[in-house]
Amino acid sequence: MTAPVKAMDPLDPPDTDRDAARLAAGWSARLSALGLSAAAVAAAFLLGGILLALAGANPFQAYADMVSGTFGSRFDVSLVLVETAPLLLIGLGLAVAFRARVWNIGAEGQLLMGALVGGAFAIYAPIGTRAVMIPAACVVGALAGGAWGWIVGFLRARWSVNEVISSLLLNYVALRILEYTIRKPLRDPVGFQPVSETLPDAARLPDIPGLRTHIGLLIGLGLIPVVAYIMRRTPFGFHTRMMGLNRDATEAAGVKTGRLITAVMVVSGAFAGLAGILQVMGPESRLTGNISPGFGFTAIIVALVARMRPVGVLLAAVLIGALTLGGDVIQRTQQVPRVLTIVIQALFVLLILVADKVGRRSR
Amino acid sequence: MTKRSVVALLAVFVLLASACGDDEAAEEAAPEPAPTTAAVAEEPAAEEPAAEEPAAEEPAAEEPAAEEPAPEEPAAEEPAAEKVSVAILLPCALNDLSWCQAAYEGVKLLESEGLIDLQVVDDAPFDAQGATRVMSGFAEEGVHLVIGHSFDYGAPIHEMAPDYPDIKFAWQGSCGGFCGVEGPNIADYFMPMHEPAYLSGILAGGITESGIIGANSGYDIPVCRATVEAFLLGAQEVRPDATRLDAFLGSWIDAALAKEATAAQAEQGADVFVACGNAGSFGMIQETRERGLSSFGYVYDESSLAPDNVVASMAWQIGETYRQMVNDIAADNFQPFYDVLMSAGGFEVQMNLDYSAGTVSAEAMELFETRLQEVIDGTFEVPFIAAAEG
Amino acid sequence: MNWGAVFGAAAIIPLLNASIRLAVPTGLAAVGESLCQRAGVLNLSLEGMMLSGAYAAFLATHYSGEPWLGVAAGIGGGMFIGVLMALFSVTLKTEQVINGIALVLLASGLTSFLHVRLFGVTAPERFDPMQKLEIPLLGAIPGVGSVLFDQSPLVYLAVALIVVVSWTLHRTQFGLAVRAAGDRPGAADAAGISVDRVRSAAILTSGAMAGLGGAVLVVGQLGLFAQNVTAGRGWVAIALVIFGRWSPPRVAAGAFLFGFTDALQLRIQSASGGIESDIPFEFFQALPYLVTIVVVVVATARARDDAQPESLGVPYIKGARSS
Repeated sequence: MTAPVKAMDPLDPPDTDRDAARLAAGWSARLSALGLSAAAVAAAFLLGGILLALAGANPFQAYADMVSGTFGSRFDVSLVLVETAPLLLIGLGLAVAFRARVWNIGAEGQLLMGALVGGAFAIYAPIGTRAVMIPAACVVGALAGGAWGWIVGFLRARWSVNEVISSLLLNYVALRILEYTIRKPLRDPVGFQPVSETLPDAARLPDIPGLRTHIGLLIGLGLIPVVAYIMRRTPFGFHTRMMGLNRDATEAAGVKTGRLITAVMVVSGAFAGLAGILQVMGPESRLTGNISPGFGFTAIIVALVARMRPVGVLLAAVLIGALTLGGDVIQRTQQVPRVLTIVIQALFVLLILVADKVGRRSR
Repeated sequence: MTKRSVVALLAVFVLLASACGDDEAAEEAAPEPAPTTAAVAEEPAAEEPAAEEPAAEEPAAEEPAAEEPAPEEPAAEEPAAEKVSVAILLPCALNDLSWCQAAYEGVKLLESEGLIDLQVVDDAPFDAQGATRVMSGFAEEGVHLVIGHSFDYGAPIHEMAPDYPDIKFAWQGSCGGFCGVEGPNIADYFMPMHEPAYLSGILAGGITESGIIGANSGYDIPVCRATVEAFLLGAQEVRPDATRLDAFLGSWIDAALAKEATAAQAEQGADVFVACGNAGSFGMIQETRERGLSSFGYVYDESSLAPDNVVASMAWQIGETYRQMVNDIAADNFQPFYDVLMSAGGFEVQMNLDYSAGTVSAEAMELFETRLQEVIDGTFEVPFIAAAEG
Repeated sequence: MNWGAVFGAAAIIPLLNASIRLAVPTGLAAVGESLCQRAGVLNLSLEGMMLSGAYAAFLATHYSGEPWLGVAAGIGGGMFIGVLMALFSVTLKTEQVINGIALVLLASGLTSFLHVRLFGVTAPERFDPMQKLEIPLLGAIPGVGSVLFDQSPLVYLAVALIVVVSWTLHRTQFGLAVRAAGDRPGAADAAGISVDRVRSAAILTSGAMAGLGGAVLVVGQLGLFAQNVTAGRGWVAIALVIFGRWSPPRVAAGAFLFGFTDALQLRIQSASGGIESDIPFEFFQALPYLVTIVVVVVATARARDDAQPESLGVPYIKGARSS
C-alpha cells in the first residue's frame, strides 16, 4: 500500500507516466499547459512589478533594463555565463546525487574544500605552464571536493548517518578550515589581510575567445553530455537511477548500495570541488573567506528545477545567472535595492514551480 | 517538464527585450551635463541622485534638498563645474548604525555639498565574482570613481582595474601598499580605528575596576587586531595591569552570539568592552546594558543603543577620506593611498554625555584630553599593531 | 589557559544559563520542524520563518511598546511564511526543497527591504528585552534554581511548547494523524484523514514555533533588529531534527547540546589567552558542528531502526495512481 508514494515522487518522474501522458495529450492540451505556464510566469512578473513600483521604480522600465542588461550585449552575456559556470558544474553533480535520492546539502562545503586544496596546489606546485597547471589543479580540486563528499557517503554507508545532517554541518566545518588556512598557513606572506597570495599566471583561467567568461564554463558544458551518457548508458548510471527508485530492490538485485551511495557522494562532491577550484583560478584569483556567495545552495534549486536532467541544469543555471545579473542592472538603472531583487528572484523560482506544476497537471 | 517553463520565461524575456529597445535608445540620448572623460559619454539618463534608494523618510537634516542636475547653475566654487560621479558598494545595510551607515553618510555628505553624483549599492555581494559583476556595471556605464567599502573588494578591483584605465577604483584595505592590489587607477583607503581605539582605551582604563577588558571581533583581520591592541595599550597607560579577553565570532551579523560572548567575558571578570564588527557591537552593547557595564560604539555613534552604558563611540568621519579622493580626481591627482587620520578629521571619539554606568577617573579623563590633543596635532603616534609578528 | 574560568564552580551556573539562552531560539524552530517532518513535509523554509518572525516581532514591539504583542506578531510572522509554504507544498504540491529555499530568500530579502524602507537611515529606537521572571521559591534554590526557574518568560513558554508538541505527537488523535500523514499518507487517506489538512496544520505549527524562535532573539534578547539577525539558526535547526531522530524531546536535547557547546566555545576562546592562543579559534567556532556530527554518528551507529518518516518530502496527491 505504500507503493503509490514512490510512484508519485516528482523527483523521479516515471518516464512511462510521461509517455502515457504524451500519448493521451493532444496538441490542444499541450497548448493550454503552455498557456497556464505562461500565466504563472506572468503572475511572477506582475507580483515583482508591484514590488518594484513600491520601491519607487518603473516596473516596465525595470524589466526592460533587466533584459537589455543581461542579454543586450556580448559583455552582458559574458557576465551571465560567469554566473552560470559554477551553478552548472555543481548542479550536474547534485543531479547525479538527487537522482540516487542521496540528499547532498553539502555542495557548499565541498566547493570550499576543492577551492582550498586546489588553490593551495596552484599556489605552491612548481608548474609553469597553463596546459599542465590548470588540468592538474582541476583534478586536485575535484579530488578534494570528492573526499569531502566521501565523508558523508562513508558515514551513510557505514553507520546509516543521514546525509542531510552530515553534509549540512560539514559546510560549517569546511568554512572554518578555509578561514583558518588563509589566516595562518596559506596567508600571503607579504600581504596584510587574511587572504592567500594571488595565484600564479599559469593557474589563471583564460577567457573564452570573444567573451569575457573564463573557460571553466566550457568544462561545465563539456561535462553535460558526459553526465548524460554515464547516467543513461553505464552500469553506474543505471544502478544510481534504480537506487533512486527503490533502494531495497536495488540491493536485492545484488548492487552494494552502500558502496554506490559513497560513490555518488564522491562524484557529486568532485563536481562541487571542481567548481570551487575553477572559481579560484577564474574570478576569485586568490583564496579568501568569501569564495562562494552560496553557490552550493543555489545549485540545489538549479538541479531540482531542472529535474536532474543535465541539459535542464544548464538552462536553469543560465536563468538564475540572468536573474542575478538582472538584479544588479535594475539596482543601477532604477535604484531598486539589491535585497528587493533577491525577493524578485525568489518569486520567480516559486512561480516557475507553479507554472511547471500547473502545466503538468493539466495534461 | 521544467524546460518548458524555462523556455516560456525566456520567450517573455525576448518579447520584452524587443518591445523595449526603443526606450533604451531614447534614454541613452538623454542630455547630460558635459562629461569630462570619454568614458562618461555613455552615462544613461539623468542620474536621479541615488537619494531615492534609501527610503523617503530620511531625516530632513540628511536630505540634500534633492538636487536635480542643475547645470544652468555653475555655482561659485570650481568643483561644481565638473561633478565627480561616484558609485559605492556597501557590503551591508545602509542603516546598519555602523560600518555601512558611516560610509553611506560620508558619501551623502559629499553629495549634499554638490561635489558628487552618487549611486549606492547596499547589501552588495562580497565574493569577487559578485563584486566584479556589480562594479563592472558601473565601470561600463562610465562613472569616475568606484568605491568598494570592504577589504574583500581589493582582489576584484586589482583584477578589473586594468580593463578600465579611465575609471578610478578605491577600496578599504588599510594596507598602505602591502596587499598586492595596485595600479595607477587604484587607491587603498585606511581605517585608522586604532587612534580612537587607543583614546577610548584610556577612558576604559579609567573606568575598569577589574582591569579586564572584553573584546569581540567578527574575524581576526588587521584592522580588528589593531583596534583591540590599541585599546588595551590605551587602557594600560592608566592601568598598567590591564588585560584583555578576546573572542572571535566568525560572523559580522550574529548579534545574539556577540551578546553571549560579552556575557562570557563579563563572567570572567571583564567590565569594559570593545567590539570590532557591526552586529558584534550591537550584542555587546545590549549585554552591557543588561549588566550595567560599559562599552564603546563601533565606527558610528551607537550611544542610542544604551545611553547609560556607551562611554563613547569611535565614529569614522569617512566623508573626509572620500572628499580628498574626489578633490584629487577633480584635480587629476589621484593617490594610491589615503590615510585620513584623526589629525585630518578622519575619526572622532564621540563622548556620550548620558553615560552613567561607571565613572571615568579624573586622571584618565585628563590623560584622554592630553592624548586627544596630541593625536590631533600629530605629536603622538598610536602604534598600529596588526599582527603578532609585529 | 585558565580552565577554572570555564568549568570552575562559579562558572557552571552561568554556563548552563547561557546554554539555555543559545538553545531556545534554535530549539523552538527545531521542535516545530520535527512535527512538520513527521507529517511528511521537509520544510527548508525554517530560516525564513525565523527571520520573518523576528522582524514581525520587532515591528510590533517597536510600534506598540508591548513585548508580548511582539511575541504574538513573531508567531504570526513565522506563520506567514508557513502559509506560503503550505500553499506551495501542500496545495500546489510543488517541490518542497525548492519552495523552502526560495522562501528563505524571500524572507531575507523582504525583511531587509522593509527595514530600510520603513526606517531609512534613522535607526529605530531599540527597546528593552523582556525581563527575567523568577518563579517564586523555586528560583531561590541555590544552583539549579537560577538555571531552571529564573529565566525569561519566553524560556518557560518554549519549554511548555516543547512538552505540548511531544505530547500531541505521541498521545493525541491529531498526533496519530500527523504520523500517519508522514509515514503512509495513502493509508491515512483511506482511513478518512485529510492528509493535506494535517500537513498544512503541521507546517503552520512549525511556522509559529520558528517565528517564536525569531521573536525570542529580538524581544527576549537583543531589543533590536539587524539584517539577517537569525544568522543561520534555522539551518542548524533542520540538522537538529535529524539529530533528534524526529522525536521532539530528543530534538530539544540536541538544541541544548548545541547551545551548550556554543556557550562553552565562547568561554574557552575568552579564557584561552587572547588572539594568539595555541589552538586556532576557528576550531572552537566549529566545535558545536563537530560535536553534533560526532553525537549523531555515535547515536545512529547504535540505533537499529530508521526513524525517518517514510514519506518525508513526498507530496501526497489524493487518488493518484494508488496500487
